[in-house]
Amino acid sequence: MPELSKIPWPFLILSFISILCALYVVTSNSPIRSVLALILTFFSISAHYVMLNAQFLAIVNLIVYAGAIMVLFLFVLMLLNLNKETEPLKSNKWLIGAAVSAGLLLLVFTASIQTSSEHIMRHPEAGTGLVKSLGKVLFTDYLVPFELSGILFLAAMVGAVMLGKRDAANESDTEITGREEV
Amino acid sequence: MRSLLLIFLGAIAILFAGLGKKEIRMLPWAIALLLGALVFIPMDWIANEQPDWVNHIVPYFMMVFDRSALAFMAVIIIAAMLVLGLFGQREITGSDQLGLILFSLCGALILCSFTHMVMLFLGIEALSIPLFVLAGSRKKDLRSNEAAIKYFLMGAFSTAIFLMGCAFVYGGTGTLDLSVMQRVIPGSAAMGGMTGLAKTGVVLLMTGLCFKIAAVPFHFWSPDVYEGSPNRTTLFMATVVKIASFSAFFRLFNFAFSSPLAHGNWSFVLAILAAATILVGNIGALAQRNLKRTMAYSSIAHAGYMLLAILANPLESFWALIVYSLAYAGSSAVVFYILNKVQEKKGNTEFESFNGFGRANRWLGILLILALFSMAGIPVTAGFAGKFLLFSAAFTGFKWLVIVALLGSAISIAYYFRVFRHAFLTEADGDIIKPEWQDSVFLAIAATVLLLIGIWPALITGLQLFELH
Repeated sequence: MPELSKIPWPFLILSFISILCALYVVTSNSPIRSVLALILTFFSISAHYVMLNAQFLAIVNLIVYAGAIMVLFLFVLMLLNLNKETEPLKSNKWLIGAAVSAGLLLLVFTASIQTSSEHIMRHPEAGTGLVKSLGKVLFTDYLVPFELSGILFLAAMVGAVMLGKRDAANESDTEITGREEV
Repeated sequence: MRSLLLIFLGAIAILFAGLGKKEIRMLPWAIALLLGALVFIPMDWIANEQPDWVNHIVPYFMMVFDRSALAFMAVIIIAAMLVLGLFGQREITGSDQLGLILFSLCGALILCSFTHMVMLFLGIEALSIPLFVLAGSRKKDLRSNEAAIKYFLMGAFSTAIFLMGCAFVYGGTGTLDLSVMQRVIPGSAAMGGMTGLAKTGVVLLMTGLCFKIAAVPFHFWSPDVYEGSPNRTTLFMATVVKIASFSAFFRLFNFAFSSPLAHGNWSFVLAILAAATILVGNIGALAQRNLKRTMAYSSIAHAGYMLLAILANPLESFWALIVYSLAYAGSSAVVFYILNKVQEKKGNTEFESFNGFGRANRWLGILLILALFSMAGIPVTAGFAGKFLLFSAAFTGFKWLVIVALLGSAISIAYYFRVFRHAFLTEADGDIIKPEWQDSVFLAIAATVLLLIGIWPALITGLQLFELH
């Protein structure tokens, strides 16, 4: 690992902010506050992308995650009216188990990154993350996967419509199994 | 490639044919489509004679339809045909479901033929996303809803782990292309083994794939999801999804991470997972009182046996895996067909519902025995041939694991025999079930597969596959 003084200071500040916000997401008792902290986390991660020369990714990250998904999250939380009382009880056993496994994962990740630092510390070339170069790669080298992701989106869309639509056929289905338990 | 394109275009056509007001029966078309796709495979097989794909690969195509891919594709298409053929009459509720099944099948075919991690990821997603919906396709059934949400959460979770693994492997090897990866990883052996990043990545990839095949300790979702989903979807998950995930597993671990050094790194972890899967699956199945849940645990156990193929020498274990997959698909189809019919009559799948089944229906009873024998691995059935080939392939490297697997098979006979006891040795009168002629055709196909491969496994193992490396 390089020395601390060699690490650019914006990186340190941004990492500090994102780790702090991420910690707040999991420690806060109010769901609304953790969602708001999550938005801040996404913002600081987007700033990391900018530092890595991935401007397009940064913007997409903001639009998709901080914009769309988080707003949806907030809507769901507000509609469901979740508060402290409705939060499921967490036993100590569960917490200890989660802490141990997450700690082990952290250990493995840091160890593996530390042993192979030269591989990942290389500075990316200028312009790799611009829309122009990204588009060029997407429509030449990655054309087949790009087209095939069409299957994926079509399937997801059809599935969403199928789940959302109202139809009479399902009523008869429940009669077959007769396993409607409430 | 032609099979994949045909199925994809056919899926879109079937989807749009359902737009009109009039209800058109789409199932015969879907089966004809699969038959067409199946016909292309021997044609490609004969045309495909280049000895090794690494040198003949088109760089940005990211898929290669070599013979190992074609063999898995054939098995998967046959399994899908059995699913559609045996469950067409009752559960069909429109062209959208059929379209989703075919889209999922496209994902399965991509999983057989990828040479690039991006394609692997797309394949896994295209396979899973339609299934999340299909698992919950009975919108009014609470269990179906539960199955869908569990499957979705577990699927999303495993995808996240899998992607993390891709990122780590990319960090460790500098590439996402399998053939380059294969060249890079032995190269780094001289410089002190695989990098830590690559090792971590391999473990994460293994975890993500183990979620898909429901290997212990990532199996908790599978009994609930299998039980709650509609029977057709459960069968699709148990056969097509599992076989496709295994083909991806096989390709990834035996092509990209196949160097002796890399193999030494991951094989021990996977061997322990396989042993745990076999034991937990079989012992869990013993405790069940419901046939559908028993089949879910039994499919966990089968995943454990199939993991032996990943561990063994790929040249020996490839055909073993194919034979085993065929046997597993055929016998699961028969058992699920009978289970579905009994559920329609009795309303549940408890063991008691099967009392007297074999007395009332002679032919279906014989088929049930054949399927159960094949699942338990009793000689003259395809299941025995598959198990024998698998275990003998794995015996050179993993003797203790083969002993565990034999122990597991012995346990499995107990719960398969329980089904047999309820169906044949109880006094009660069972309901008479008359399969329609289409069902009979597909049941006959399944039975033929089970018997023919059981008697003459060389029919498949004798096929000429070139050097896998």
